Amino acid sequence: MPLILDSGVSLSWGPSGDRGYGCGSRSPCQFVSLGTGRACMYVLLHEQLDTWRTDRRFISLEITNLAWNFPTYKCDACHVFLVLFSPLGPGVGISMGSSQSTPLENGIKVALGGDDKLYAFPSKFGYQLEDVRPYNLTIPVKPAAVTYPKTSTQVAAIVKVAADNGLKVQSRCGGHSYANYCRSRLPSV
Amino acid sequence: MLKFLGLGGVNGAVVIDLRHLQNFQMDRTTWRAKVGGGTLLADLTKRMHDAGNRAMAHGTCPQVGIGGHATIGGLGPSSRLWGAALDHIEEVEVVLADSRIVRASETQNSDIFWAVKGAAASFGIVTEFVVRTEPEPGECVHYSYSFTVGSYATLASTFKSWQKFVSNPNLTRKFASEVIILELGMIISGTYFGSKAEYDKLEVDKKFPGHKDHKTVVFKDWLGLVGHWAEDIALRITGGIPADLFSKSLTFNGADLIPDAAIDRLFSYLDRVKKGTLVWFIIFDLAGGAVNDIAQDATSYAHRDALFYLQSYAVGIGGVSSKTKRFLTGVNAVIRNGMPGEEDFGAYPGYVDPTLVNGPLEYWRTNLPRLQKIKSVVDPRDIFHNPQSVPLAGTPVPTSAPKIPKSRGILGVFLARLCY
Repeated sequence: MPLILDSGVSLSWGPSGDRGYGCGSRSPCQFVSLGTGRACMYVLLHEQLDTWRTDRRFISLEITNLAWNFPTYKCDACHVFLVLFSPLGPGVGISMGSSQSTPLENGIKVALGGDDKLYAFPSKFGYQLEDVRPYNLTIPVKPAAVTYPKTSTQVAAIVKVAADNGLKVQSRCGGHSYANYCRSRLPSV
Repeated sequence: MLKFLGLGGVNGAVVIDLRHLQNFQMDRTTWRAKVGGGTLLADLTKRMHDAGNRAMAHGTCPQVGIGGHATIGGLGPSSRLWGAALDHIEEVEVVLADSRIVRASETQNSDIFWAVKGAAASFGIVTEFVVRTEPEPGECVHYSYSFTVGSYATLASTFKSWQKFVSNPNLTRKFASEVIILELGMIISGTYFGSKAEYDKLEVDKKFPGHKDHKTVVFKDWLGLVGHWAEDIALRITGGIPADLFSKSLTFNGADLIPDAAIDRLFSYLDRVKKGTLVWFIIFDLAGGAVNDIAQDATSYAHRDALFYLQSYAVGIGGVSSKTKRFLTGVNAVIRNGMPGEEDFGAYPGYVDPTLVNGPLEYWRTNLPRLQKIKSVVDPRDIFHNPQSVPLAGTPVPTSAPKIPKSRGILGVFLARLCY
C-alpha cells in the first residue's frame, strides 16, 4: 500500500516483516508492522522527538497532511517528515536532514577510511532501527556511534578514538543482551 | 553507577558491531577452527559442518553471536557432553583498551585469557577465536512431553520427578533437558545424544506420567537437529525479534535442590498470581556434566557447580507492566523463600538482570576479586564498560541496582505527539 507524500516521495509498508525498505526515494525509510513493529515505531518516535526537543534547528513543525486519519509532520528547517499513524498503529518516517560532525565522528570516519557504510551517528535517520537495534525495547539506549569495522586494526582504531574522546566502548555480535548492554545505555533526558 | 550523560558533551558509548568479522578456517590436522568474532551461531554451525562435520557446544538461538555467547558462558544442549562454548576456546585475538591487538591463551597473556573466558565484555573485544571442535554426534533423539493445565498445582509432582531424574549424579551426559512452563501448561523436552534404542532404554516415558502429548524425532544429521532446536516455542516467539522484555534468573547447585514444599508453593503461586501478559515463560535448563568438570577458578566463568538454571521472561506490548514484573520477581522470591539456608544462588551472566543489586558479584562470584585486579591493570580507565561490567579494584560495593532509564511508553509518545 504505497503512500505518496506531497514531496513526491513514496513510501510503502506491509503487514509482514518487522523491518524493511519500502521507500522510493534516495533516503532510507523503514516500515514496521503491527505486533513487534508497534514497539519499533515507538523507538523511532522517541528518538525523533528527543532530537526535535533538543535541536534548535528544528524550529517549526507543521501538519502538512491530514489525510488517511494520520497527520504527517514536516519540519521545514531540515526536511524531516514523520508520518504518525494512530498511537497504536504502524509508523513510517524518512529523513533527508544532515548535521555537523563532532571530533568523535571525525575520528571514527578516519578510523574507518571514510567508508560511510561502516559507521552511523545519532543524526542519521533510522539510527535506532537500523543501527542501535535495541533488543530489549523497555530499556532505551542511545550510543554516540555505531561502527562496523572490517578488520582488527579498524576495531583498535575505533577503541582509540573512543578512549581519546572519553567515551566507553561496547562490542556487539548477535546483539542479544537482555539489557542492551552491547549498545550502551543512557539515562532519560 | 552509570552516567553516560555529560561525558565530553557526547551522549552514550561507542558501539563496535562485529558483523564484518566473519573469517573461518578449519585446521584439518588439529581440528581447531579460527572463527571471526562477529559470527552468528547459525553460520558457525554451518561452517563447521561444511569443514569436516565438526561442531562445538553452544546455545539454541541461531541469531545469537559467538562474540558474547562464548565469552560469558555459552550453554546449550551439548554442554553436558562438551562443556560451555567458552570451554572450547584455545586462543583469542583481542583488542585491548589501549588499542593494542594481542593474542591470549594459556601460555601468552594468560590473565587476559582467563578473564575473556567468562567476562570479556569488561576487558576487550575478541576479534578472533581459536576453538577446539568435536566430531558431530551421530544419531540423536529430540523428545518432548507436553502437559496442559487444569491447574498448575497438578503439574508440581511432574516437576518433582524431573528434578529427581536430572539430579541423579549417574545421569548420562548424553541426556539434555529443559522444562518450560508457560500459559498453556508445561513442556519437558530436550535432546538425547545417542540412538533411539539407547534413549528408549532410559524409559523417560515412565518418569513423566500424565503427559498429554509425547513426541520423539530421530535426527541422523546434525544440521537438522540444530535447526530443530531453533523451533523451540519460546525461541520462535522471542528469538530474533526485539521486544519489550523482562527477565529473571536463578542458578541451582547440585547440592541444593528445590524442596518439594517449595515446588508446591511455586506451582500454586502460578495458579494464583496475575501475570499481566499471555507471553511468559519459566524455563528450567539442565546444565552440569562436562561444564562442571572444570575447576571454579580455572576460567572467570563462575558457575561450575550449577546443576540447572531457571530463566523466566515475559514479553509485553508497548512496555512490560509492573504486574508482569511482580509476577516473575515473585517466582524467584517463592523459590528463594523455600530454600532458606541457600544464599549464594549466583546469576548466569548470559541472563543479564539489570535489577540485581550487585550484578558483578552474582555473575562472577568467587572469581570477581581476581577479575577486578586484572581489570585495573588491563583497562584502568574502564573503557569497556556497561552497567554491570567488572568494576575496577577498589570500587565501592554497590548498595542498589543500576538505575534503569524509563522508556516513555505509548502514552508518552501520544502526549509528546500532542505537544509538538
